[in-house]
Amino acid sequence: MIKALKYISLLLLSAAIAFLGWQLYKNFQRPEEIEVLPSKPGDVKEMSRLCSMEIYNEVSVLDTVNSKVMFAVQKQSGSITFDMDNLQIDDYGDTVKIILPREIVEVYESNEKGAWVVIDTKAIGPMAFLRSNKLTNAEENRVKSKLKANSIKRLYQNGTVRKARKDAVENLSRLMEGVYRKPVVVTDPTPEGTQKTKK
Amino acid sequence: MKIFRIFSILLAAPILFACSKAPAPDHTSLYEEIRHVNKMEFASMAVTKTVKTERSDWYKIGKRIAVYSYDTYLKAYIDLYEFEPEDMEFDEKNKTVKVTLPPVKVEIAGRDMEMKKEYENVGILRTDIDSKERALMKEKASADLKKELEGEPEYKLRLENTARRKARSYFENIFKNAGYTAFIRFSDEIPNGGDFNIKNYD
Repeated sequence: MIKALKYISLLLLSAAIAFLGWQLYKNFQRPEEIEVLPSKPGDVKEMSRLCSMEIYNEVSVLDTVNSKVMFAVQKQSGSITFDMDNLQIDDYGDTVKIILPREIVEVYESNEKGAWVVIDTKAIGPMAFLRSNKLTNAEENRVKSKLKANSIKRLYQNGTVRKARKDAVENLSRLMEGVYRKPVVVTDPTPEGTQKTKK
Repeated sequence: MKIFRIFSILLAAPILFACSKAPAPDHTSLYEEIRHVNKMEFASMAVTKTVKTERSDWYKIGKRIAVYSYDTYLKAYIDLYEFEPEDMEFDEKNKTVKVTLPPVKVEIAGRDMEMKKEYENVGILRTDIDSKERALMKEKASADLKKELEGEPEYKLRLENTARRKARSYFENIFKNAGYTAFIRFSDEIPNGGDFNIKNYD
């Protein structure tokens, strides 16, 4: 009888070990947590844009939102372009007169590997240790939209937009002189750019 | 007598000049100017990427599912720096020009910085999704898009075709202003030279 009980308990123990082992195995073999769903392409937009400058930038971000601090590094890509479809051209006289349109400044997060690296987040202020140090998606978006606005502002302030407009004037003058075969004057009404920024 | 000689030379001059052929216009400058433009964008498109994270273990209580999305922007452009002098063949008699443009290329201009929350269900006993996890989700989605574009998806071809159509009309207009009817093709379009009159890309 005691022998039989010994066998049963040994059997139960083996079953428990096997179950635990199987669960551990399953845990290590669990399916991919992150799943990328199929892409949804939008409409195609036609344009004729002269690309005057391409932007590649790497910025560090230190910001506080709702008493939570975030430090991250972002790679940015973008461009400064000019809409050639809506150029104001006056070619009735001896000279072709063109007015440079407003610049289109686009700044994105780069699509490169490691374009958005979060180094750390922490809660600050009284009783910080009792609060979560994790930023919600909405809080993170607030940090990022501020970052985008600041990056665009910097392009105006450090003269990148001015240089892009200057290059566009030169490019456009040369191209149009080749086309019209008469003197071309490209006027830039806003050499510093069309967006107003506070210095 | 002297006056008579000068008068006869003056009379003969137009006949003499009429016999000599007018020199063909030099188009080098036009070529240089087009090439100098470098990069021109002719079409763009936004592609929405959606990514899901779900971590469920038998010993954990409550669900932990989140779905986010963001847009990535594709641009179709022509690098005019690849334009060569032999890519323009002028016919001065008929005032036409055959132009072979460099191929339309597609690049990822970048992606939205912000992510849109599509769905979130995180049980009270489960940990919240943090910024590092969202960054990892975005990274995976971006790598997936890159791989997808290498496979030449239908939407990429649609973008390229729109850019070709737009570039064609843009350069036709450029040469029209220069006084020529342009027949445009793209260097990668058709093997063995290609037809200059193909216009329908749809």
